Amino acid sequence: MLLPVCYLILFLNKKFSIIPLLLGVYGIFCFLFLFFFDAFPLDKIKYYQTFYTTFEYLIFSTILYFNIRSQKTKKIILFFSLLFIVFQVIYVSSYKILRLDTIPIGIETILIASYIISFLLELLKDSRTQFSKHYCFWINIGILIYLCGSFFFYILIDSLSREEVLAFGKMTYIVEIIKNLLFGISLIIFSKAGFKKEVQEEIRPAPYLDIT
Amino acid sequence: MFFLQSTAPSPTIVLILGTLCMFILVGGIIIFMLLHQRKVEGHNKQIEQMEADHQKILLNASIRLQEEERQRLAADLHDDAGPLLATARLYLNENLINQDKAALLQSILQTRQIIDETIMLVRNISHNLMPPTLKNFGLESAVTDLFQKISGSGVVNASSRFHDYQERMNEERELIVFRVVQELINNILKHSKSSFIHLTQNLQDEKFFIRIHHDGRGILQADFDRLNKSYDGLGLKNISSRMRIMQGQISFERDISQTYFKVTLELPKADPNAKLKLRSN
Repeated sequence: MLLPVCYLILFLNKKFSIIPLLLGVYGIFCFLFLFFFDAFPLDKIKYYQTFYTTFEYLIFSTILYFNIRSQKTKKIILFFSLLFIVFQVIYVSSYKILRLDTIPIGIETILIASYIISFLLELLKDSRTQFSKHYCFWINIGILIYLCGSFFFYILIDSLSREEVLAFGKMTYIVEIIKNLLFGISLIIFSKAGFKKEVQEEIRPAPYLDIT
Repeated sequence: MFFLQSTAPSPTIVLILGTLCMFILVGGIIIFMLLHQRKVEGHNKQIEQMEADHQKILLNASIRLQEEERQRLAADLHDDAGPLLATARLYLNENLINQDKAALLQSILQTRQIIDETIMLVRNISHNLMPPTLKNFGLESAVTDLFQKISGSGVVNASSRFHDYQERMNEERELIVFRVVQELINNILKHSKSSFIHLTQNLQDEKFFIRIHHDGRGILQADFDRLNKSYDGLGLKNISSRMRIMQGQISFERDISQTYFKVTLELPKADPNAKLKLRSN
């Protein structure tokens, strides 16, 4: 519910940028995925899950690709993304998935968390950026909470009993809600501040020198 | 043995502990980032305060310098031009009374001489404000002229060489650079007891460089920074202000051979204020 409201605010402010757009696509995709999840045939569910993990990875890595300034890190993201896609193709065609594609989820979490940490390190190095007022900071924190909070659950899901899955599955809802709240906050920050802040010309005050 | 015998922890415990650790880790990262930001903000505020204080010192220095210059101008006009014009007036008054033709002619000639002297004096004052060589022929000629005058005294061997100055800077910037060079040379002549001053100009990576070498007693960057922050060293503060206007940098050091003192002026080739001026127009 929160994301559409935030998008309405964005629409009213007439500010569009690639990252909010990606968040929008991600939101719609998640909704559709969960909506049609039960309707999907069980024998084909592994493709469905693999597609979801890959798509989620691509959305998060694209957001980070646009956030990170270092060209070297961008190249690393591209390289690992390609590797990840190749791995997903091999994995889905060779391995049997029990409940969830735990290994790709684990790899996705490690990769995205690494990108986020490099983004946060970049922010730390830049003393001029007030990152708590930067909407991308909250998007990345949201992603980090979501991935880290559900990491162990998805990794260990095949070892858990049905009751445990149902009980701990609720924990993933909490991190999802936190993630969506942070996405919403970031979109509100974005709509207030604008993505491309006009760089103010740095005018250095200089003493008045008349005759001298 | 105990560890070998003990059973592996259940996935539930791993899940709970692992997730808890993850939350602690992420929470730690967020808290660290926010605390770091607060620290950086405090530090930036401190720097801004220091910058403002420094700015105040520079402003005071420039106001003092401006007042001194005005006083010098007033003194020049009052002490030199004033008496000359008063004397000329005296001669003219005498002409009204004196009817003797020879005396009248003598008086007129003397009046003319006094007026010529006054014209020369006013010209000198105006040249001090804006050297005509600089205005008409540019920085290179003005600096060469200045160095020739210094060499002419026979005490100091002064020379200059402009390597890449085919295209002149705008008048305003030329005047500022010239004033900085003038102030530096003035300081060298006043304090360093050097017998040799050499100035070179060149361009490097879109930057305009002027390097002044001298063999006397000089100052180093630390001395310059110290004097710049103190209430003494008016001339140096003035140099600092001028460099700031041009968004340039000045550095004081010894040259590689450790024989000479070297002052380097580094300015952007293009006028960084031009965009602002255009915008304000």
